[in-house]
Amino acid sequence: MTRPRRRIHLLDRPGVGAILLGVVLLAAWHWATTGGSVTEAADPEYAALMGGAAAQAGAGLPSPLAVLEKAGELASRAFDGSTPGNLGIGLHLLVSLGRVALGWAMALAVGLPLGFAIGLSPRLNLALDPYFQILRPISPLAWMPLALYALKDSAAAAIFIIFISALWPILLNTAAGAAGLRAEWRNVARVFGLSRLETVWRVVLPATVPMILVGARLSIGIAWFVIVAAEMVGAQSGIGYFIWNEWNNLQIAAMIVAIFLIGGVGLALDHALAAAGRRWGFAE
Amino acid sequence: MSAAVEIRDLSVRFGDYLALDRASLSVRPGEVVALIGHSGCGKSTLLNAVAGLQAVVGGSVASGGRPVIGPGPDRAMVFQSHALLPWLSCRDNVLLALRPRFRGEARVRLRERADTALAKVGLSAAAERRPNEISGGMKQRVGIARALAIEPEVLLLDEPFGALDALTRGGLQDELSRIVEESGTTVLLVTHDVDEALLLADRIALMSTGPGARIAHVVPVPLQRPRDRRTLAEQPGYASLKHQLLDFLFGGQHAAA
Repeated sequence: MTRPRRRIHLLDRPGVGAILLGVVLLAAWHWATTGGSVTEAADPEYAALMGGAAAQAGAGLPSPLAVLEKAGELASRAFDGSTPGNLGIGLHLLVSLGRVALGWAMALAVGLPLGFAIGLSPRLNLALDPYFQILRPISPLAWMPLALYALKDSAAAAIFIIFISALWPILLNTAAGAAGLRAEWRNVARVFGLSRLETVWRVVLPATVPMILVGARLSIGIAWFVIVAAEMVGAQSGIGYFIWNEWNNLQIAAMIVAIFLIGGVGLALDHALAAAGRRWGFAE
Repeated sequence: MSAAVEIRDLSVRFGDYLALDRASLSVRPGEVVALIGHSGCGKSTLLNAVAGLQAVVGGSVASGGRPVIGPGPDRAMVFQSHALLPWLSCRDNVLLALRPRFRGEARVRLRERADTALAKVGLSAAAERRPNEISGGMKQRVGIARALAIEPEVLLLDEPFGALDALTRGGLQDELSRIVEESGTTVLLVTHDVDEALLLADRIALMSTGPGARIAHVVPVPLQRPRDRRTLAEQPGYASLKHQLLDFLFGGQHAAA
């Protein structure tokens, strides 16, 4: 008796479909940018906005090869800080990461204790919840002019924006985790006579860790979204500033390189926090 | 001699629903009493009231002659869902209960107590492991070790083996009966398993079905100890006793079936 041969379809293998699609998209991009398609004439309004730059020859999108070439060029002086007005892209990235780290750390420093207190005290929750409800839906960028005015420093304002945008996921997840302690664990603490402090330290806090990590992961993703926009307004450094600056110089290829870089860094941050979740969470 | 647990005219209400209506039960020191009844009849509610976890609207509970106003170290509970903390090792789960009970004792001494308790349930080798790394039966044993470690006067068990498979359950019942006989602890056991009650209990309290549940009958179990599940059914009186319990639970339908 012969068993039917099990054939695994090529597209069922991990990565194969994604790589094929990538090749197709790159080819399409390449064809669209170099394949003889005529660049449309820039409309006058656009040209005016660009200060006439758009009228230059070759104002269409760069080809993938051009972007790759630009990436090599940027990488070769990524950490070059010799010309203050023209920092390497790596340094801009580090500046942005530093701001995100600082704002995010401040959000943790405020959000964790406050979220915990709210989760443990229904009275505090009742008092503060209406304010959270109205503050939370405000786009972080709406704070930007006010922050610039109050702090008189674009870097400090950007850090404040990160703080504000990272605060809510951390605060609300921590509060939900602490408030939603499983009844059976609460009963264990009560039956065996744990003090209030012991209950918080040994039961509620560890039980809340998975929710805290969810909040931390959500918030770093949001912070990384927001920093780019925040740096486009007013900042003199950072990856957001870099993109805006390259846009002003109509360096489209450099913009595209920076866009891919932002995606890569965001992915790395998300993976780092997911790994932390596996490391410090608990399995049941 | 005063009762180990004295439940007198206990009433518990959940909103408009009267769960317990003047339930009374007295458990003598060293006695094993099984509380049996249909699910949802209020067995666990009664047990929680003895543990001090359940607010009551009438009546009283006393443990060792002292009125119960909340949880206390004289009463330890084994939970139906094992209720181990998943981020702690088996030993640390036991230590969690030991620290408040023996405040001021040296860390080394507490650790000894935890390891002794784990050895009693045959889990010395699993002390360092976390709950997700051990089987359901082992988890429940850690729960028993945790309760025994604080040396309670009364052990409260809330359907402790309900979630286990039949073979594991049998092994754990034997182990529990050995431990209880050795320690002489008073036991109040909630179960819906007639065989479990007959194997372990000195007396079986039958609860009527709610609303307004109360203890309907208390049936003594005059079977010889040590009891062996293999020969228990051959003891005189076993059959009629089991018949009586099933009659109560299934309203006499069992006789016809």
